[in-house]
Amino acid sequence: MMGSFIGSIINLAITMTTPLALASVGEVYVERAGMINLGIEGIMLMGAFSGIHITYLTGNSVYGYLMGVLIGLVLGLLLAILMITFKVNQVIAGMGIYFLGFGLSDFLYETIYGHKYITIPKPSQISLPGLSNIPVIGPGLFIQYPSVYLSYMLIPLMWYLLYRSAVGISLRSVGENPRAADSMGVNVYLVKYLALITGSALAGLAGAALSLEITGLFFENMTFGLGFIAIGLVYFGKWDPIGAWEGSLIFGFTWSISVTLQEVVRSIGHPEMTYFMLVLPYIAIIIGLIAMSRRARAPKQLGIPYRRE
Amino acid sequence: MGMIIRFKERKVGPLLYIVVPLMAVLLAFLTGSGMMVWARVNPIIGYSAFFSGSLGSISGITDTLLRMTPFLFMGVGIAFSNRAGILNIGAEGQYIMGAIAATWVTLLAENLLPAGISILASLAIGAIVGGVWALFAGVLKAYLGINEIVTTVTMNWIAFRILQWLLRGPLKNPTAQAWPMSPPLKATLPIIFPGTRLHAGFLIALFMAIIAYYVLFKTDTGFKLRVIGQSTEVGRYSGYSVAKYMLISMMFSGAMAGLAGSVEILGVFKFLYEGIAVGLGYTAIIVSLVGKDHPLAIIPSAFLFGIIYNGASYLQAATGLPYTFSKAVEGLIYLFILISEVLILYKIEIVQIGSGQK
Repeated sequence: MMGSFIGSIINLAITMTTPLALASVGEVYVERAGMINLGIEGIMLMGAFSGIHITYLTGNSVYGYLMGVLIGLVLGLLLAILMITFKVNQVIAGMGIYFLGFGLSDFLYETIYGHKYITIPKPSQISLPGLSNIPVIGPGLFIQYPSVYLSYMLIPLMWYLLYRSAVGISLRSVGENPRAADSMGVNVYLVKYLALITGSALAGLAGAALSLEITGLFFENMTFGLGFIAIGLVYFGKWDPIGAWEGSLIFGFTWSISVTLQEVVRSIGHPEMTYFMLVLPYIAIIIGLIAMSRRARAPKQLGIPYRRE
Repeated sequence: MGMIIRFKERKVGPLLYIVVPLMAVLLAFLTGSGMMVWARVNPIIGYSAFFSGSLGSISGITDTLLRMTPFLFMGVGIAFSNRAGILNIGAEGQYIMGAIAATWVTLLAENLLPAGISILASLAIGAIVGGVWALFAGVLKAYLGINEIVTTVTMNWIAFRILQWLLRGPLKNPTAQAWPMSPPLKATLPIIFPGTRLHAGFLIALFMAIIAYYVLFKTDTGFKLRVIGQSTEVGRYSGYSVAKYMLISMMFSGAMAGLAGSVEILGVFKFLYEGIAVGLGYTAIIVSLVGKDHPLAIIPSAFLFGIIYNGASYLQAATGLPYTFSKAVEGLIYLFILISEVLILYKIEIVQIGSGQK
C-alpha cells in the first residue's frame, strides 16, 4: 500500500520533471556556447500550442511532438539570426521571442478554437516489461510517457557529447575563448547557431510534452514559468547537463509532493490551501539557487557576442 | 576566396529614438492586418473599430488613459531598474502583491478612518509591499549574484498562488457565489473627469513619471545609479556602493508596480479577484523598451499601449477577433523594434575577401 503511494509520487514527479529537464539541458548547451536564451518560455508556449493543435488535427500525438520540435527550430533560427549575426543584446532578443510566443500562442488558439478547451487523444504511459515490476521505483520510472524515455536516453547522451566528443570540445571552447577556437579552425558562428537551435528545439519539445502529457490541453500562459526556471536550473546545475537534470528532479518532486499535500489539506477541510501548496516548488527553486550560489563558474564569454576581426 | 556579408555599425543621431519605435509600431500594425486577413476579418473594419473606439470619443480617450495608467507606473519602474542594470521581470508579481495589500488595508481601514486617509494608507502600503517583494530578488542579486530574471519570474508565480489562496481563505467574500473574490471596497479613488471612469490614479502615475525622471537625471543618486547600470566595474572603481544602488532601484521598481496594483484595485476593480493578474506586468517591459527607459518618453509609450488594450476590446466587439490580439501585437512591436534597430544601426555590405586574409 505504502509502496504504491510512493510509486505514484515518483511517477508524477518524473512526469513533471521531464519538460523542465529537456528545456534546461538544451539551455546548458546554449550557455556553454556563450549565449543566454531568455525566449525558452515563449518557445515552450508555442510548442505547447502546436503540439495540441497538430495532434487535434491529425489525431496522432507523434505529429504533435514533431511540430513542437519544428516550431522550436524555427524560433531558434530567428533568435540565432538576431543574436549571433546581428549581435542584438541577448537579453532583449530573448525577451522578444518570449513575448512573441506568449502573445502568438494565445492569439492563435483563441482565433482557431475560441474560448473552449479542446481535448486530444493523450499519449498513454508505456510500461516497460520487467523494469516496471521493480518494487516501489519500477512503476514510477518505467510506466511513463514517451518524452520521459527520450530524456533517459538524450540527457546522458548530451552529457557524453559535451565532455567526450569533438563536438563538445568545440562547443565549450566557443563559450570560453572563441578567438582561440576560431584560430584552431572551429567555425564559431556555426557552433553557436547549432547550439542555439538545438536548445530551442528541445524547448519546443518540452512545451509539446507539457501540453500533450501533463495538461492534455492548451490554455493561456500554461507553462507556469518553467521556461525561466529552466534557465535558473542551468546555474543551479553549474552548466552541467546532469546537474540541470538534478535540479529539474527537485522541482518535479516538490511539485508531486505539493499535489499530494493538496489532497491532504482538502481532506482536513481546508480546500483553499490547495493553491498555497503550489508555491512549494517555486520556493524550492529559490532555496536551491541560494544554496548553489557562488559555487558555480559561468562560461567566460556568456552573453558576449563574438565578432570576428 | 569568396564573398561574405558584413554588418558595419554606423553612427546615428537622436532621431533614432523616434524613428525606430514609430517604424516598429507601424510594421506591427501592418502584420496585425495580415493576422486579421488570416482570421477572415476585414482589416479596414477592424482597425477603424480599434481606433475610433480608443480615440474617437471622450469616453474612448479617457478609457485609453485609464488603461495606460498601470503601464505608466510599471513602465517607469522597470525603466528605473533597467537604468541601474537590473532587469525586473517581476512587475506582475509585485503588482499582485500591491493589489493584495491595498485590498487588505482598505478592508481594515475604511470603516475606522476617513476615506481619504484609508486611500492614502492603502496606496502607501501597496507601494511598500510591492517594493519589498522586489527587494528580495534585489538582495539575492546584489549579495549572492543570483540572476534576477529567474528569481523575479519565479516570485510572480508565488504571488499568483498566494492571490488564489487568499481569495478562497482570509480575503474571501462569503456572500459571493460566482467566482472567488474579496468583499467590495468602499473607500476608493475619486473620479477626476465627471461622467467618465478616469480616476485620480492617472495623475499619480504622471507625477511618479516626473519624479522618476528627476531622480534619475537631476540627482546624485540617479547619476550613480546610471553609472552602475552602464558598468558595475566603473561604479565599483568610482567607490560607489553597487549593492546599495541595486537595492534602491529594485525597491523603487517594485514600489511602482505595487502602486499600479493598488491603483487598479482602488480605481478600477474595487474588489480583488484573480482577473487582476492578466500579464500587465509583462507588457510593461515592452512599454519601457518602446520608451527607451526614459521616464518621460514612457508617457507616450504607455499611451500607445493604452490605445492597443482599449482598442482591442472594440476590435473584439466589432469583429469577434479575440482580445489577445493585443498581446500578439505587443510581441510584434517588441520584435520589430529589435529588427529596425539592427537595420538602422548596421550598414550591410558585401565584401570580397582574398586568400590569406584574416
